[in-house]
Amino acid sequence: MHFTVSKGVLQKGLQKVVGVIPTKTTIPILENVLLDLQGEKLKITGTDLEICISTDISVNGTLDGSCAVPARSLNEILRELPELPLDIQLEDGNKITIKTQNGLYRLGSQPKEEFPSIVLEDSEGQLDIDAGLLSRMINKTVFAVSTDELRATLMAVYFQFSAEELRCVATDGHRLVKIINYQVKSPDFHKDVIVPTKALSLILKNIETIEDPEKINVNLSIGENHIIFNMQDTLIYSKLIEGQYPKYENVIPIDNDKKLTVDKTELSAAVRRVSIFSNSFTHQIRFAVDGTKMKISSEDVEYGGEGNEVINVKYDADSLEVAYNGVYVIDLLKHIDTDEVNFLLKDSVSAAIVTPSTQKEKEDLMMLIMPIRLSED
Amino acid sequence: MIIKRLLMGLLRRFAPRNDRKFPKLGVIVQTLISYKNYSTNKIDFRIHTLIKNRVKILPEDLTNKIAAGEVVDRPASIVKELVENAIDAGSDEIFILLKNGGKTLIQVVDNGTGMSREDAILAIQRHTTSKISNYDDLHNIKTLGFRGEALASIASVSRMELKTITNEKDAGSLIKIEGGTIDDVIDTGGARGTSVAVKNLFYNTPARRKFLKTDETEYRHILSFIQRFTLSCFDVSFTVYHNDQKIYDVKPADPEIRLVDVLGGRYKNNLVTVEDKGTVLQIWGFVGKQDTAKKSRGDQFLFLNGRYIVNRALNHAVISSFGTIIPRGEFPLYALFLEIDPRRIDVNVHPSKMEVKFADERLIYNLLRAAVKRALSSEQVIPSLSPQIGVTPQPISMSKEDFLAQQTAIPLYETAPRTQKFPGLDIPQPQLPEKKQAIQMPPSDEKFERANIWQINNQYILSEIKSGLIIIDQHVAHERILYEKALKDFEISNPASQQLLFPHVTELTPDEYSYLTDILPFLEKIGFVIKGFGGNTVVIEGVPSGMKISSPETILNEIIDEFKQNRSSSLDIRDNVAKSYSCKMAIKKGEPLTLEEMNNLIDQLFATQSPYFCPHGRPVIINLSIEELDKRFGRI
Repeated sequence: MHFTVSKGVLQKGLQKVVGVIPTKTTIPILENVLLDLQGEKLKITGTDLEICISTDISVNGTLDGSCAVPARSLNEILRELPELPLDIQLEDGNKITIKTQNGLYRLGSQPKEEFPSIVLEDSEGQLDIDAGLLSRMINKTVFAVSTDELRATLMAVYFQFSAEELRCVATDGHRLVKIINYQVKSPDFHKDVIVPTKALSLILKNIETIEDPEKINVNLSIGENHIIFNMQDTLIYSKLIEGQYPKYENVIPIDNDKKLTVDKTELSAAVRRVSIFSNSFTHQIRFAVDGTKMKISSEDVEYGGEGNEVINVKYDADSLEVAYNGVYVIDLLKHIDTDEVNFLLKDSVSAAIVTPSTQKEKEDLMMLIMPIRLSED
Repeated sequence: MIIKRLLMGLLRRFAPRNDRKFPKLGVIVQTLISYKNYSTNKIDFRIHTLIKNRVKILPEDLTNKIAAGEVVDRPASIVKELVENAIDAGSDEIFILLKNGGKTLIQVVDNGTGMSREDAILAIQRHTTSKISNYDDLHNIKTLGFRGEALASIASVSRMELKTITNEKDAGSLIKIEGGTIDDVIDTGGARGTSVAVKNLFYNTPARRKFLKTDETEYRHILSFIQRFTLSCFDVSFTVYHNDQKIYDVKPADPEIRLVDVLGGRYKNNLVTVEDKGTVLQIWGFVGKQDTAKKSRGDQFLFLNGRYIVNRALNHAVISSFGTIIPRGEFPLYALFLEIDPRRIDVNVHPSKMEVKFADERLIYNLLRAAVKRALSSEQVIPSLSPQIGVTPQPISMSKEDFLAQQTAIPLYETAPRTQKFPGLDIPQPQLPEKKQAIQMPPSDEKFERANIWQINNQYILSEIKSGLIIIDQHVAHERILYEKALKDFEISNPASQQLLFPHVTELTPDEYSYLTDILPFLEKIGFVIKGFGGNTVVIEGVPSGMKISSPETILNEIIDEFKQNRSSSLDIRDNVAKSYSCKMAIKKGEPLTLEEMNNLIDQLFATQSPYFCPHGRPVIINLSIEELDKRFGRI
């Protein structure tokens, strides 16, 4: 293997892959990236065995070949080097040298055969979605996933492909987000899959590097046990999470008839301030809504802190008092794009539906938040 | 002929009746009749010989062997009897020589009062003792031995040499006994005292010999007896040899020094003195500090009027007074001496005298427990790293003085009230003033240099403080926080319950269900919302707010399980629920924490009443001072 490439191009390619490299692994080969040169195309691949990312960059190739090199060392030297042409060559099958005008760096390498290869099963369906839209669907849901490693199915976003729509759902059991896009249709196949959070955040990272995501198509290819996101020169493969996603439709309330409309910015700011004085365990804040006023309050019995603010709201049902985890409220509000936010309420122990005051075209965004039950005193 | 007629009369009278009480009489009479042909003058009338093949009066040597079975069941019990005798004789120097775990030789040499020849010969017979003389004495026992059977029992199953000298000017006696029979008595000279050598134990009782364990095992048993003596007779020196190797050589010493001598350096500066002089019961002695507790039993000694006893209830009294600061499955050292009017106890329960009956066990239990608790509450120790490098073993944790010195050195702990109760004790009732105190807990100078905080192995949190660094175990730290929070939650009616989007239905066993009904009110106070779903099935609709709960049903099961297991201990129900809950809910080791989470944990930890120990008594914080580091690096 022998090629020359500019430092910037190689670094940019490596950046796309390096995120998947596990920081702690019992399998040392996973700390490597696979370099595979064919003609003028260098494929850089990294994997943690669940997710695999590979990206192609253009190089000036003189001799085809491949090897696996330590990702961290390669990344570090590239970071320290100025923008220079690099001459990279595999020597004796177990070393690669990186030559610059003034320098020579040698890295241990391993043969390609040592590097795990992903066996691709047949895909059951394909669909194209623009990168901007995909990014939006993921961004709106991924914040609400569970961080609990014991519940793998909730550490993921539920993708539902159907002829009418694409639906993404995330929940951690306390809150839930559902976003439907009616533009993205897959008439040929219906499939529900659970995609792990790590893969999604890698996709987001990759899309961020794209200048005009709305103009780039991402090709999704879904198999029995895997999903592949293919965009431009990069391919992200992820195993799907096996298991049953909770039957979320059943918990979406249909009889929440108390509608509360609030200015999102005002509410968000008030909640942030009041939350500072909430209990650091529960982050509990209270909404006490009565007519056109809502009092947001918190109290930390243990440390003696408390705070409250009153804001103007639109509300015409019976007065109601309900408590939430302030962190969840702030999270939800972050993902509302409109100036006003709607809360559909029922009582102090049931889920509240949170929606933007107006939906985006061909989209339906809905969030659920479970209250913290108030004492009966 | 008169006699024959008489006998025939007897026969008629007894034989046909086949008397149940005297079945033999008929036989006897018939036998007598058969003598009719002999001269009436010379009938041999030894009825004894006739019945001896059935019931017989045991010859003395045999009764001694049987009795020996009770008193002397293994070499260790011989050592015990002989040392007791030596102590009762007022010795202050005792030598013990052992060979092959005592099987070949046990010799106990003392410098006590000795015995006159007559006394010595008498002593080898059973139920001879100089220690009591009448029944009343039996209820007023102050010496260790009293039953008067030991020497005779031992002598009957071994070859024994008893040498005793009462006065250096007069001739002493050397008595050789084989299998309980005196072989020889000769004059001897030497220093005052008694020496009993027991050789070839059980040489004449092969069955019993077979039951002896290996030399090592027997030796260990002997050692544990000797240990008890060394821990109760501080003014006696003990020298012990086994197979010509010196095992113990302890000189008369202060109890505390003796204890460390015998039980090891780990207890140096790690003993808490217990003292309580009541009218009924006088208690004194030592308990080990919590971080010297061992996973195995063995360092627990209870002496009643100088005699080592085993008593489950009193053992429990001591262990339970440690409350939660000693984890389950670990056992603190204690060596406690109880003095009580001998009339209030009965030690004559079993020949080994290790069991004692108390006239009022409950009272003794409570007094003992209170005394130990009081002693413990005067101490509060932060476990610190033990310098295990280096030659001299050093105390594992600081003495009280060191601790107080350190307290002034580290501002972090300065505000901790010195009169604060022992961690883990008496917390279940939080009081308002204490809550206030909790609010004031983290004043500005207690703050960590928060930039420097790390998580190690996803298990420990390391943070720099002014005087060095502290290491916090994340699981037990969280456990402590949750535990105290649960106890507070029980008091206030303000449970914060995060409602679940997906209620969890779980089926319990009838057993679990019944426990759940017991603890449900408490779980609700913590924030669980659990409802019946028919049968033993329940549905969990809410969980304590702010908790990361993957599987509420598993947590519930675990809490019930833990509660069940702890039930037998003396915990009250709320304490038990709080413990079970905190243990199961706390973040586990291996969980990565963000900087914010770590900061939060530390803040909350130091707001608790006893941040240094988890509810089970394990240390939460280890403190590594700069001084300590300097020491390790050989700077000072």
